[in-house]
Amino acid sequence: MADSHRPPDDPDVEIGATVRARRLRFRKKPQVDVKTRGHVEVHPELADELNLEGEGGSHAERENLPDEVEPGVNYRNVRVGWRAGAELRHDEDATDG
Amino acid sequence: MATQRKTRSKKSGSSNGSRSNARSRSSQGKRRNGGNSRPASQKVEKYRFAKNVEGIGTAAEREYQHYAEQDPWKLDDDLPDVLLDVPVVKVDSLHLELDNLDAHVSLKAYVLDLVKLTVGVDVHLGRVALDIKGVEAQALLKVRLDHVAAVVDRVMTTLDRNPELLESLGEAVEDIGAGTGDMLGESGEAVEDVGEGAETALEHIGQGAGEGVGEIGQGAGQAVSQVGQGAGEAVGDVGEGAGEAVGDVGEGAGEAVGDVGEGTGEAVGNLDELVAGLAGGSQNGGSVGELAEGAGDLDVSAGDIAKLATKIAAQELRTAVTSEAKGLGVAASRKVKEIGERRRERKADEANATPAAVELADDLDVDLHLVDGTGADDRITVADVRKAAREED
Repeated sequence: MADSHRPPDDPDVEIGATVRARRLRFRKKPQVDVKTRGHVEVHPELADELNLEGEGGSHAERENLPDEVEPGVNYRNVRVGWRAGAELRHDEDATDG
Repeated sequence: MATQRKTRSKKSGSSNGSRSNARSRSSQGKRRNGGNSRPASQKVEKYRFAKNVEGIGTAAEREYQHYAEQDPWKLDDDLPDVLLDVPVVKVDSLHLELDNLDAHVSLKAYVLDLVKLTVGVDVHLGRVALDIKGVEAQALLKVRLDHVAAVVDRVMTTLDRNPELLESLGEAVEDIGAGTGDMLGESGEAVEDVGEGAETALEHIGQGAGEGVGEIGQGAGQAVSQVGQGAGEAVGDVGEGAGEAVGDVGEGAGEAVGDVGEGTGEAVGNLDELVAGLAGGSQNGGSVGELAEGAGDLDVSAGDIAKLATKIAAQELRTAVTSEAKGLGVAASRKVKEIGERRRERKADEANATPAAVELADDLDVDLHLVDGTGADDRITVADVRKAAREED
């Protein structure tokens, strides 16, 4: 299952791929999981000064390929563009205010 | 596959160069397939891999062209710090089966134990089995360090503006958790309390001990002084030098007592024997404490103190007197010799005789006034003295 959130516009870490295929057939139903991480550990003394949070997501664009694929079905002229990214967001308003 | 960084040399001269590169790769693929050197975009549709795209070039070629036109060196705003580029991969036929494949791409940045940043993407392919033909694929990996650098800068700026944070950070640096931090804070206060109490107790102990030792030193010093005085009188016949030695004994003992009063606790000279004797051979605090109250409250009598002190003083006196006597003997012998030499010189001048003639005249009991000199300027020589001695005989 892909991450439901779209990745940030300019993530700190980004990975993407585009695959085109003339014919694609799944023999088994795929099990795919994508997670993004934006983990921040800040010392308590700096927590107020560094209001950081992680944000990320992934997104896929498909052509000629349904969201739920069926095993044994031939999908033709398939295009899948996939992109995932995560970033650390610093809330300037909270810290400077 | 190609990787780029800001610090690297410029990737390609222009986007056209990148396109031609892509076409060259594509052409190579075609040559392998059929010996046709035309790129995929010039192929008739039936030979093209992906047919769902309109326009010139395959989808992969256009995707790559689009990427290549975004030359990182020309688009500073979108400049990634790390770029992993898989421009075009073409596979005619692929049978793929995967089971529990995990792929992790993450950026981690630690600033001491203050901030830990982890940003990444985790992909888990639990089970995938597929057949795919006519594949064109490309992949990109980008890492931007701007935010991380900003966070690090923020940490440093915060510490610079609030240096007092370093103190509290130092106390709780081993644990970042807020709850644990609070516990550490309380523990720190408790430790401070313990330290303060211990410090106060130590101050009291030190003060009491100092006073006790000081009193010991005072009492003992007086005793030694008196002993020294008495001993000085007793050994008055030894002479002036010995008297000074007695004074030195008292003074030295006083210095030793002073050292003990400073709390060094070290045995200085023979004073430790005195203290040990006063304590009845015991080193426990009770005896010392009693001693600290003064000689009047001691379990030992003043007579014991006097005996021990006298013994010490006598030892010191013997040593001092012996040394003094040795010194005097040596000095006297040297003095006598010097005096004899000066007398002979004076007598030689008076009698117009050589020093050897004077010495020989003394030995032979010859009166130089009755000797006629035969040396230079009628100076009396040894031969003249011997001749006079023979004539007297």
